[in-house]
Amino acid sequence: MKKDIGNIFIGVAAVVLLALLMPISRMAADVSMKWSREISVLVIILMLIFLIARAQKRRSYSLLRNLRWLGLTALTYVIILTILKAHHANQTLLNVPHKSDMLTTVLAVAGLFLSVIILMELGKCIFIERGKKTAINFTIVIAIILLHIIVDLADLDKDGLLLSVFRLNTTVIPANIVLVLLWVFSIINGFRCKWIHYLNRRQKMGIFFIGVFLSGWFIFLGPQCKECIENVTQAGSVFVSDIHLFFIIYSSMALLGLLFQLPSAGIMDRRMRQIRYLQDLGAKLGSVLEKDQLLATCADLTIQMVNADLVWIELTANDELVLAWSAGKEAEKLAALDNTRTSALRENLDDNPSALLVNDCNKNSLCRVLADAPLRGGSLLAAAITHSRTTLGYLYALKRNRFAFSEENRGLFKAFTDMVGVALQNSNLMQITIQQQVYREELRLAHDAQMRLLPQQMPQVTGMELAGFCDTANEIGGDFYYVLPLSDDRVDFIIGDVSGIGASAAFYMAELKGLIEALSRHHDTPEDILADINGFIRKNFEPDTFVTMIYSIYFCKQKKLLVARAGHPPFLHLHDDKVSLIETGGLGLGLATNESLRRTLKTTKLRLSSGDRVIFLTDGLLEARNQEGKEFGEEGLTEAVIRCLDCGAEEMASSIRQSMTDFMNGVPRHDDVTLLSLKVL
Amino acid sequence: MSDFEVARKDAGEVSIIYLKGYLDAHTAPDFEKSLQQLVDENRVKIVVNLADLAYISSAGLGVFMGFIEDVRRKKGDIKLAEPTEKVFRVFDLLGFPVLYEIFSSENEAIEKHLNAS
Repeated sequence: MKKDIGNIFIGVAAVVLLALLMPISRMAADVSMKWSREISVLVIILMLIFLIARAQKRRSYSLLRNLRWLGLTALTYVIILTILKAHHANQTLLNVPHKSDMLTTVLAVAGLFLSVIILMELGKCIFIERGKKTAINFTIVIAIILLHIIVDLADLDKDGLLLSVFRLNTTVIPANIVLVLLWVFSIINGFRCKWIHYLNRRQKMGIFFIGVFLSGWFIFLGPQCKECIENVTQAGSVFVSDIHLFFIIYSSMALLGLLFQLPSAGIMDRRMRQIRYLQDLGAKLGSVLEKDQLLATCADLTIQMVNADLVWIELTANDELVLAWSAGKEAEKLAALDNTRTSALRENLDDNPSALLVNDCNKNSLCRVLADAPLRGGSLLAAAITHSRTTLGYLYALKRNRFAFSEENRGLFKAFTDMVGVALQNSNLMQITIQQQVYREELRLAHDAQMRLLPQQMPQVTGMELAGFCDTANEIGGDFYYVLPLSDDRVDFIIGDVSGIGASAAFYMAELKGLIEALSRHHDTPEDILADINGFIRKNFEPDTFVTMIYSIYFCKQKKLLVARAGHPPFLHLHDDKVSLIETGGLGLGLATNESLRRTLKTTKLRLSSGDRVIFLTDGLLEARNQEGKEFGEEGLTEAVIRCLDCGAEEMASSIRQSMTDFMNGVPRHDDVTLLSLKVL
Repeated sequence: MSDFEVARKDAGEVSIIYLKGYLDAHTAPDFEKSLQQLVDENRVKIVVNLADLAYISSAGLGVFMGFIEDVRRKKGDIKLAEPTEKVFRVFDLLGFPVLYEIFSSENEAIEKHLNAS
């Protein structure tokens, strides 16, 4: 919005300028009119400079756009002034007095307007340096030009008092001093051509030729323009000729600078490209974490950056060196490379703080193998990929031609390889993190599945109250308990503990549950069932895994309970307010043959009466520890049971659990605690 | 609960392993490693001295189970010596005395090995 207002001001100013000059110019001979004309021209030039400066500040800067505008303006200017000169020359030819007619006036005014723009556009180029000194120097140039106009006008008015202060006895000297100052400060500004560095080679050449053309015009044809404009406005003609001088000096110096830079322009471009590749890699490294993608990106960027024929990456994995990725011409030939023959090369890279550059592989013992068929390499760039003083691998770039890589390539290559090291490390860490997350999630799923294997709801058993709980210590535990009602007359109670930790315990539990469901329908004694389970475990589970279990069968009508203990902690029987812990012989399951098991296994036969209680538990309950390292043990259990003689089965279970928790007094559980509580009604 | 140490002493044909501290799921791999080393060296007349073993979990018991078959096939054995009351209780509950010979002194165990061969 403000930009537009500024533009409108400029347009209005131009129109005003035109309007003022046109009628006034007709009265060229009238001195008083001349004064107001010249002063108004001066004022308008000042206003234009100020407005353009403001308008320029608001726009975002683009060097190319600036140069384009400058070129366009200058060309238009050249065309207009050429026409003006032609017209002037025509008048001379025809012996017509050089009056300021319509065409002359319009062209002169347009030229003046354009010259202001040229000045300001040039200023914009200079301002790329943006120092305070730069601004001061440029402003001084403008000030000198305006001073020159004033001095020149003073010359006009030899008798007047207005500008007496600028007069000396001879008015030539001030004008010359001002001209010298203009030269000096134009040259100073001529050093400010940093904008050249921002162009690429093609642009530099283009600017050079256009600049030569324009400067040529200004040098050879420029001076004569002063004459043409003088008839319209003297101030304007001084301004224009000073602009010419400034432009010639500045562009000559800038073009000289350009000329000296052209041979190295190609190298500069390459440098810029290489820096951009490093920036590219930095950006890509942040976004690519998947290893193969990362390696592919690194290989491709390496090829582009140093212009290699073939690039490959070796990585150390589990103390082994593996060809992890290759890219480029005939990459498949790398498979034929026996990497034991390059071990000397790798040793060199390990100790080398920078990259290795070999100009002729044939002459270097480290990589002669690369010079032979099928690779036929000429030049080699190689570096170790390291991170935190560990070598992750090696990066190689090969080119058929000898002397293909330069010293600057070597520095870039090492910087690049360091970034690759960081990226690889990030990728590895990312994979580990993902794996850990996956593992945690798997554990959680296994835990949920395991919990679902336990009784979700206690089945109804006539004449009996049931309650149970299983408090796990870790995500996956080994404890389990089942209640299997098989008929009106029979319910099987099972409690067990699978050794070991981790997800495998949960799987074993699931298998055992299925097995128990099946076996319970085929056998009616605990020993037979336990023996079959033993056989199954011996055959199917890992040799270091075993299971402790109590298998009991309850015949409801007769209230008869058969219990067999296979390596499991004893169970509790409460009868007549007396607590007994019953421990019969029996090997753990999976430890020995079925014969051995049967030999040791003893079945307890209990006749239960009303009010009797049976409590099955796992060792986690007995081994629960308090701060002093003392165990809850059989004493703690017995105490808790005695305290709750009239409780229901549920209450009994909660009471025991509470007693244990109170006993532990904040010490965390390190094992699963499982309990199955039965009360005969 | 990871205070655990394994030490080894060779006495002629017999190797004695001393367990000290808490043998649970975290420390079991250390015990495993020393047994594996003995098996690799074909020193299969093994005595495990449990005098300083304060605690053993099912993971620790599993280590014995993992090696015993192999050791016995190689005509050797793992004999247990000087268990504490608590540790012996764990063995007893599981029925280990049926599977392993348990001695109250290390020398008895070593002698048993030498007499057998």
